[in-house]
Amino acid sequence: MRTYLGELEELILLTVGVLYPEAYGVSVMDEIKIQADRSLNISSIHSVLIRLEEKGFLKSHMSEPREERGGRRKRIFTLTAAGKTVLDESQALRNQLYSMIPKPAFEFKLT
Amino acid sequence: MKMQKPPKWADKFLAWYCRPDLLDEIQGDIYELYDRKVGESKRAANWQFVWNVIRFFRIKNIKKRSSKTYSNAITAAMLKNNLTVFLRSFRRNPGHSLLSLFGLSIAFACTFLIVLWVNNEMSYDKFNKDSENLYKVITHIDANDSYQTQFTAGFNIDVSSVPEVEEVTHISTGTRWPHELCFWPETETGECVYFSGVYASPGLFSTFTFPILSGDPDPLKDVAQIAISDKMAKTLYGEESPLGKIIKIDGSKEVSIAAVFQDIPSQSSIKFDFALPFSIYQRQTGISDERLQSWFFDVYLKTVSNVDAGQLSGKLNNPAVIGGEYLSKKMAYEAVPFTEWHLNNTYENGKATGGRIDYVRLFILIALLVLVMAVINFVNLSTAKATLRAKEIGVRKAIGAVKSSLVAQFMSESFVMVLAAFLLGIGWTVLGLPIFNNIIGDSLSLSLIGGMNVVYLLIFMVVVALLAGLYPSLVLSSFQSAGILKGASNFNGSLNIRKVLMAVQICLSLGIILFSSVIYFQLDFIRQKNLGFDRENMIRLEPSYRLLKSYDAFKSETLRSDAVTDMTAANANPMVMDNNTLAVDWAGKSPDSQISFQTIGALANFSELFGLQVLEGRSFLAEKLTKDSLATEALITETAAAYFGFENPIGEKIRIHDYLDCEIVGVVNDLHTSSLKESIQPLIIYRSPIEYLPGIYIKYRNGEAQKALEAISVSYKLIEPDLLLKYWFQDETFDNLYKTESIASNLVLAFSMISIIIAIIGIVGLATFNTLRKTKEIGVRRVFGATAFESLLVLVKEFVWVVMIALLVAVPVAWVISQKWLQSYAYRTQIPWVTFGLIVLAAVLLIMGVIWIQSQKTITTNPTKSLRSE
Repeated sequence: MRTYLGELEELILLTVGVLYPEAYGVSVMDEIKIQADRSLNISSIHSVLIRLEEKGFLKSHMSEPREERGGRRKRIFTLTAAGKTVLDESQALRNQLYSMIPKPAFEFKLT
Repeated sequence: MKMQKPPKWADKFLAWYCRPDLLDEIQGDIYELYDRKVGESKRAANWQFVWNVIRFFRIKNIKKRSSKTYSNAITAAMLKNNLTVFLRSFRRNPGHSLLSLFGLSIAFACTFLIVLWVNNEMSYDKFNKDSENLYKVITHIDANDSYQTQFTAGFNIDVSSVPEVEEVTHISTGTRWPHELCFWPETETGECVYFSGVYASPGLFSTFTFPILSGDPDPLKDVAQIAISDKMAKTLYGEESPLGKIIKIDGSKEVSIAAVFQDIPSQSSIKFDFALPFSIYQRQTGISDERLQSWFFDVYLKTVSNVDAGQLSGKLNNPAVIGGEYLSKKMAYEAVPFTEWHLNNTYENGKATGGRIDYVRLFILIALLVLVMAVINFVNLSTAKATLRAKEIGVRKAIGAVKSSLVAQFMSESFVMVLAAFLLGIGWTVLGLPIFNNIIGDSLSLSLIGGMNVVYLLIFMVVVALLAGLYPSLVLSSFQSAGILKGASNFNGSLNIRKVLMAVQICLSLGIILFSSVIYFQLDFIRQKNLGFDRENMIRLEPSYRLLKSYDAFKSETLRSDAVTDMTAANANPMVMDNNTLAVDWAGKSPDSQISFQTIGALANFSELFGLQVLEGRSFLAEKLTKDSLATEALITETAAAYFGFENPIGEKIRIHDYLDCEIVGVVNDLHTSSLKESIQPLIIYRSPIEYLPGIYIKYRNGEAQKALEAISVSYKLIEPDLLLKYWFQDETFDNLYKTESIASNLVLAFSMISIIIAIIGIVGLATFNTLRKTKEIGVRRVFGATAFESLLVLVKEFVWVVMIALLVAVPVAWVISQKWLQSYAYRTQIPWVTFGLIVLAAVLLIMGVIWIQSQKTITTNPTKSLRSE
């Protein structure tokens, strides 16, 4: 069965890739704020990350404890092969569909 | 720099709910964001932190209760083991378990019986289809600042202007002629059989659900027809169909049987064996159509659905409905929902003040109290017993039982016990039901518990099991295993709670006993109360017309017996008067006066036979002697004299019912002419010819009732050879007046006995346990020379405070409740303080006695033995 990616899921999956090897909740949230200008709550990011990991697109390990985190560890996420495949597929699909749009559709004239 | 800390409570909350495997990263993320923000503003950072904690509160992140690290799932094997252990401990110490089982089952039985009774009471009149649309009309009369309420309404009520009312039904009910009639069976072999019935308007069978088995579905059309019950048909005609047969009323008036209806269910407020149309009533009583309109009967309305009783009452007081005449007489109708009538039919000063509902509430309360006591017993005994099982708990814990599995163990024990008690309780109920029915004079059966009630009972059982099991299981499962196994047992905390519970229990049972003693004394007071007239050694009988005609012959024939001393006749029984009338006029009566008088028409020797005291003037003489030759002689009571306000009442004239002129010849003492819940009413006794007096009162010599009855029936047979003699003893009639009260007092007495039993069980259990706990202490004391009595004091000391506190609470509470209950009587006894004292003393002695018996064994054992055991 194919697993579909939601828009937010795709965005976060891409961001995790961008941030390699330092992708965890807060950094993903910050990156999305910078890149896409979207303010998301940390808990939403967190639940999407967990969901992506459950789907097998991400894997994670715990980092060393950090002082600014009150001595807590981070969960660092990295892309899996399946994650890359799903990103590739979605990318390819977009490109394919985009290229199939006939030229006249882009010619915005006043009618 | 010291790190800023986020709000502690939010952090704790997060740590509490969050899945442990996610806690680190989530907490880390929130901390990091907090750390970043705190530089700008601590407030904003705090808000953000709290907000994030709340946002993380998602199902996915919440800790799963059944953690996978160890399994404490309740397995079948574990339940089996629990049961085995339970049975072993039961066998090892059957006394304790049986005691609490017994107490609990008795309490269950009490509850079942009360539920049956309450269910029965609540279901009155609900068998009627659309019973919520039925209303009874009652009348309030404004009688100079106070209201009198009559449970009837005028025949002339005209509801045609009230669209909500679909049908109005008048019913004439009563307990004597013409409502109680004697019918001859078809075979005509000898004696007639008495049945009681009603006269009603045609709507009787369509307003109420009294199904017609055969014949005319509308039998009360205005012709000479009668509808009879199935029972009456069977009695008179056997299996033969009675339809169309001619039946004679009072041996003369012929009516044909038009219908047979199903016997009236026992939960009906309206009961009858035959129904006749009002036209027969008029023929019986000889009243014209016109006068019938001004008479009052039971009136019922059937309405369309969703009618507000208050609005309906308002509409009934419209002049078009009630009539201008009644309005000017300051009368007002009220529509009362019929289904509530049975339980709420007591009115005081125009306001509903309850009725049987008070008893329903009282018994529900008693059932709850008895149950609470039994549950307390159960809790006390199981915690006490469990301290003896402390080692078992210690071992279980040491080999890895967690708290929840121990809770499950004790809960399942509690369930087994409660289930057993429940079943046993059903057994007691089945056994006790005939006795209970006997006391309440009803025929309840277990079949009343059906349908949803079974579910409610099961829920109830589960709740009791939870309540009874919760405390013991929580206390026991929190024992520290290390402590227990080392032998350092310290259960003082739970001991205190046991003492509190025991105090509550003693308090409850003592309260119930004290209260029931007050009920008993009040009823005794009523029985002994001087009513103002004699009621002992008196027989009442209701004569036929022929008997009245030959009264003198009957009297002289009967008086030939030594057993009978005298007889008289009157048109009302002074014990249960219902002849109230506003139509009494006298010189100087204020025009808007609305005083209701009671009247009795009687023969000359009435006052003598009933033992009335003449305070002024004289009683009736054998020959009439009035100043005005047309006037009738009358006696009035003190209260009536006060209402009239004559300076010298003797010789004054009064007029009753606009036609009966009376001259007052004497003033007699006040009579209690109705229930002692009501105050004394003014009464007028007027002299009347024998033909108008449908009640003969015969006085007999004390203890010779049987001989007197024989003499009466012999002379009765001479005059009425066909009729069955029907008679009542006056004192029995009197007892019937207080039937509800005496049933209630019997029941309260029965339940107070049960509460004593349960309390004793509790005390025995706790005393036993206490003695066991102190075995060593007593052993040591005995070794150092304490006497048996001193050792006993050590044991008793534990209970002294408990008993003291229970007494201090129970006595005042019982006093207040008793006072409140006594308020409902116009004439009441004093609180029997001496008896209160005796009961309290007896309770204290009983408790001490139980402790003494329990501890006897320990005290008399050679201390060397008790000290060596371990």
